Amino acid sequence: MPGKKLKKSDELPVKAEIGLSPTGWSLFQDAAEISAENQEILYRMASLIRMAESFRLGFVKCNQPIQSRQLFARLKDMLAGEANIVRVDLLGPVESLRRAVLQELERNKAEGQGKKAILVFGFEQSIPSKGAAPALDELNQSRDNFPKSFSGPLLIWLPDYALTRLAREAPDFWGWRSGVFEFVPEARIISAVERMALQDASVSSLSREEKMVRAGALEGLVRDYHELKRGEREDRALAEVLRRLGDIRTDLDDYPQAIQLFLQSQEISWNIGDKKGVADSLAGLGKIRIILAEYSKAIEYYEQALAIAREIGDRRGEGNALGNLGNAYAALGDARKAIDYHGQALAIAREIGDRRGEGADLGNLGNAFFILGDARKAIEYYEQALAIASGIGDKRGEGIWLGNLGLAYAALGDTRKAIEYYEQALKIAQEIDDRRNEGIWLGSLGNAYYPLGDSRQAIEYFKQALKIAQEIGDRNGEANSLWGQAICLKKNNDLDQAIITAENALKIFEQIESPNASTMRELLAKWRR
Amino acid sequence: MFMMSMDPPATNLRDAYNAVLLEPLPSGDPRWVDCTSARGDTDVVGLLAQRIEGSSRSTIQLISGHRGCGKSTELLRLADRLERENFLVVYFAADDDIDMGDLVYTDLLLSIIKRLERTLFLKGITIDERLSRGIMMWFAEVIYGWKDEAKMEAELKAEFELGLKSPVPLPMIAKLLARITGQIKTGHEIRKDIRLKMDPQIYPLIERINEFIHAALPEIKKKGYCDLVFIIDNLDRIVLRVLDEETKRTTHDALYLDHAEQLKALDAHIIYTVPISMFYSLKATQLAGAFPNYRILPMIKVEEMDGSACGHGIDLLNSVAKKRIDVDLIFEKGVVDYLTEKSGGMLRDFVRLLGYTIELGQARGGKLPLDRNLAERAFNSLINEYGRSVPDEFFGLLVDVARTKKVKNDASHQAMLYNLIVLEYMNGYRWCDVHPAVRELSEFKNAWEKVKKVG
Repeated sequence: MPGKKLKKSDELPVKAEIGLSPTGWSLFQDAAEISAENQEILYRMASLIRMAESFRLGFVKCNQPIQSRQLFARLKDMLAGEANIVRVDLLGPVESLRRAVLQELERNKAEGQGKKAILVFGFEQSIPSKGAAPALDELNQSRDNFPKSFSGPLLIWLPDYALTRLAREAPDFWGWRSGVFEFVPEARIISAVERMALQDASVSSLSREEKMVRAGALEGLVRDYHELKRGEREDRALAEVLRRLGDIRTDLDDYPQAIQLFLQSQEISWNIGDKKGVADSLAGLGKIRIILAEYSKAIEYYEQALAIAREIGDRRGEGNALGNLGNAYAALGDARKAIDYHGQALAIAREIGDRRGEGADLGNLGNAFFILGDARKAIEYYEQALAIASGIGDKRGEGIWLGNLGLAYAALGDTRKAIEYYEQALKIAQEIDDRRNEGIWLGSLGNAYYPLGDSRQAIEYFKQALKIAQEIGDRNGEANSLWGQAICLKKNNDLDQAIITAENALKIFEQIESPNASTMRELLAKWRR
Repeated sequence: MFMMSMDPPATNLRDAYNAVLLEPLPSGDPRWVDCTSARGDTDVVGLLAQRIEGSSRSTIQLISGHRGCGKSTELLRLADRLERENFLVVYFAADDDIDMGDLVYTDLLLSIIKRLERTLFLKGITIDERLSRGIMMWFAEVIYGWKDEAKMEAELKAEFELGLKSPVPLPMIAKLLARITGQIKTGHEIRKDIRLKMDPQIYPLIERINEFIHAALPEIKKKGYCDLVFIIDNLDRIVLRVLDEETKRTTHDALYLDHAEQLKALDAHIIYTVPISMFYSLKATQLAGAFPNYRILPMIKVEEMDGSACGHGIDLLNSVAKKRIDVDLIFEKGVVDYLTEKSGGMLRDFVRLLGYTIELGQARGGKLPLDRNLAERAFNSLINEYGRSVPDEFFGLLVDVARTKKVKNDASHQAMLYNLIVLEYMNGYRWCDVHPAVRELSEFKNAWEKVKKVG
């Protein structure tokens, strides 16, 4: 049976219901046709739901979340008026599948008329590809409770690897199955996701939700590649996809996962002799090291990336490595070296007409001058960078340079102006759901309110900043917020608490080899006296 | 025992689909088919029952069998037979009381006394009050440090008023035992605490349970029963885990071997279920030494050792289908025979294949009768599903099993039996074969060809 395109008139209600972000929705539409093979499997699934009069356990194999959305919508369409199809999305790892599904049903009050079939998505988050999976042990033992808890069909959707693990490690539960529906990868969806991944290099200005949808689609793509056992040429594509996924994971503050992705992609690129690929992976790893405040490691990665970029004549890669080397040296307090690197990077960006790079390099030059103590020069550069960011619609960059302008004005003693800039920057960070920078500008607001004599307001900001830093594992941010709190506490004459808080900050500064550690140590010594 | 009211065999696809469910049959269900002859003429229920009936002293027996081979159905039938012969049967599923992922033998003993107490209560059998109170206060003091009965009563009363309302007022000992086993099943911290207190008290504990049994027996007999039998089902679902990397001692070894003496120390007829893989482990001899009376429920034989069809087994599975479905109306001739053969005699896979065929028929428009082509596609699904559960490194070993019809006593073969990749049959002696669906996997065929070439 040939697949049919979704009818135009269906689009709006379906879209509202499946709740996809703009990217997800456009992919969904691009790939709305279902292959004959998958259509047939869908008919089988529908016939299970139609006929079952009691609990039935089914498994559905589908690697790609975009595809599963599409199949779900079609199934719902097919069974309209016959059965009530309830979708349960698990949003993270769970200890007990049964309890989690019951909780979700309770929360959504998903009661409807007539026969009910429950479709569960997202259980793979409880099944890592390696290592212990306690949720599977739990599942294996609790299978007898399922017929007691559910009175109709329960269909569990999983990607290939997770279903295999379940079959092997929860054999008693698997033994209870009344159907396994294995959807094959859809070529249309694969190419739509590939197009999305490769077209648009920068993900940093997307919303968090959008990034999550993209990450899910790319993970599905990697699983489809794996299932289709693709060869050498495709390995290059796989490495590229892994890097894009690494970029998104970095942006979503999921560093351990991102590091794994870059290491994987680096190995593949190395094996097929793709030097540019290796350099790109190294740059990805370097970026994470900078975020994690491990600057000497970051410098190692970027120096390797720089050497490769020069060897193969990749100007853009060269500029990127130079700029980040500048950032790393700036963070280590070596402003002269930083200015030198950023200057070289700026020249390359202008030469190749890379506006985004040019903006970043200008702003970073501003940073370096700021560290040197030349706030006026820093402001000049930040203003140029800001102009470029707004010109090319780079929201994230805009936010950063606004905030940095705030920092520079604060250094010049103009606290009111600083607060204005911070507030603008904070607003943008919140708008684009950029948690890291949100934390930074909250901390900066804390710093600004303190000299205004409003230490209660300042502590409030520091606390918010600390919470975000801890959530996303930003050690430097965590230490800075603690430092700010300590100073406010001291001002409120709560010396004991101030010392404890400062000690915590010092511990972190020492761990991340921050130049702030020695300042902190001196301050503490003074307070103790 | 009760008889189920039964619908006539299904004559349309929807009814047929709902007639093939993967649940164990209650005893007395007219859908039950006597498969004894096809299990190699071992009437496991009969043999277990005979030993109990023929012995005046308590007997401890083990039963084992593959998942989905009909073990629970057979044990329910055993319970029914013994009840008809006036035994008081305490049948329970261990996993209703105990967390099978973390079970120690004291949990099981506590569960046994709780179940006995409950059965006596339901049957209206009371035992000497002083004795019963003595036993109760022993538990109260050892586990909770309660010495004062009035205080304990207040505590339990408050808890039971908050929690589950019982339709009849429960005796205090029932409340106490329910509290103990409930805490063991659900509370991780308190579970550890209770075990810590029970472990050094193991012999007194067994003594208390035996005291309880001895006090109950004359009362049981007064009610017209001849003896007391425990049947503990689903104990074989205890999760297999290595406890000690050096000695490779597992959770199974810990329960059935290290604590065999304790399991045998109760003074009543008891049947424990045991994971089938234990009979194929290096510890098999040790297990048989500790429990000389064990029975294994084999698969229904649909093929002989030489690969020829076993008509008798095929007929039996056919009658399993006929009791549920109007086979001649729903299926083309030969289709059910084909499915019996491909199930390897495993009831659950047979039922599953029937379901898949019906589901495919419905998806294709529901035209009757369902033909061979649909059945072949159903079997294909099953093949793919087995493809998931067999790790690559098993295929070489599986070819050996298919050639020799034997399994070795090691971890890999144990896992194959556990995951039903290899099935066991009986011809007066045990033999094994690879599941028909696994034999169709290309990895298996390749491994088979390789061996054939070598010689």
